[in-house]
Amino acid sequence: MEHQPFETWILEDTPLSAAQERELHSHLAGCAACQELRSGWQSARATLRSAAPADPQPGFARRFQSGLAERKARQQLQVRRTVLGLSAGALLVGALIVAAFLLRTSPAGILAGLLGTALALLTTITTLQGILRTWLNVLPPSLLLAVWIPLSTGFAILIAGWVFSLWRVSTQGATNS
Amino acid sequence: MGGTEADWIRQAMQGDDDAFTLLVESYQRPVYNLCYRMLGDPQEAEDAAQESFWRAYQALRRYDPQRSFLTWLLSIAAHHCIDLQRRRRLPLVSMDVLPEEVIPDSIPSPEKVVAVQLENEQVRSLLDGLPAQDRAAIILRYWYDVPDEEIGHMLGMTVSAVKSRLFRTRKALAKSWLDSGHPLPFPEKEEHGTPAL
Repeated sequence: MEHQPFETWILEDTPLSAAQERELHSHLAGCAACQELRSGWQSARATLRSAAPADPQPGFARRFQSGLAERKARQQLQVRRTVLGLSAGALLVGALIVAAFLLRTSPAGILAGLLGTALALLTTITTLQGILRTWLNVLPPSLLLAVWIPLSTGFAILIAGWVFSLWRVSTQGATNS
Repeated sequence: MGGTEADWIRQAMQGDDDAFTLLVESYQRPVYNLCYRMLGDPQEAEDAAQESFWRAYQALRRYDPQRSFLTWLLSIAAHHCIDLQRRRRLPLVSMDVLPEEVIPDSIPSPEKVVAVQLENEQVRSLLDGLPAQDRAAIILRYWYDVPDEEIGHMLGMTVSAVKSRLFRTRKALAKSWLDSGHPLPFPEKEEHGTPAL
């Protein structure tokens, strides 16, 4: 026996038209399988629909609150550990590089290298000072002011932001707020 | 703390933990019920519901206020429970284990306790054999009256996939009811409307 579209009509939640209802009833009168399907589904649906919602144990929100505090504390600790771990790693790598450098070069060579670098640095600074002095003499004072104020303000903001982020991560960790 | 749900959501999004706790207070029941129906065990449901709220707390910045907050929460809880079920891949719960039902502010009569336990046993026996996503779809449909489109959105499926999944699940539930030897026809009980809310 053909059970379609009756099976669909039985199992769909959409309401049937009067004609479809009549057709379904006449089919059900002669089809035990569809009758069973209909009874089974209606009973199952009624069971689902009528089941009272399960309630959590009292104090659910309080438990959430204390769990939240614990999780946040754990998260902060983790962030601090990560920051410390990364810093320690960077220091270790730096120390290893310095150690490797010291092992491969003689103290006299290092001293000579350092003196050479310092001398080169001083020469560069002196040259830059000369260039800067020449520019300062050439440019009008108002233009100099217009350049220096935004530059120094921008630097100050960047440094303040950097210090604030370091302080926030190290004291508060990563929070949702 | 006064205010409406929208105020609590706004305050919680700005980092107010007390406001978020008020939201937990308001929605603990539907979220717990979903977890309980999905997992079938009160302790697991408690853990899953707590975890769902924690995930919601962490994802609060991504919440779209145009959407219903409850639907958003249920979506998080449903995904979490589906993950849990997939991970364990074991029979859900022994039929001998009956949950501790809590009916606050009243001492239920022994008859009522037995009736609730029987009812839960029936529901569990119906849902036990369903795959995780089918179970989630049927719970959202028949406990929370979530429309097919929204179920699709919540579970990451197309509307036609939801429809065919629900159709297949209804058929499985009808068969499960008949196979379990429950009396037929089942008398139509009074429907709660949206019982879990």
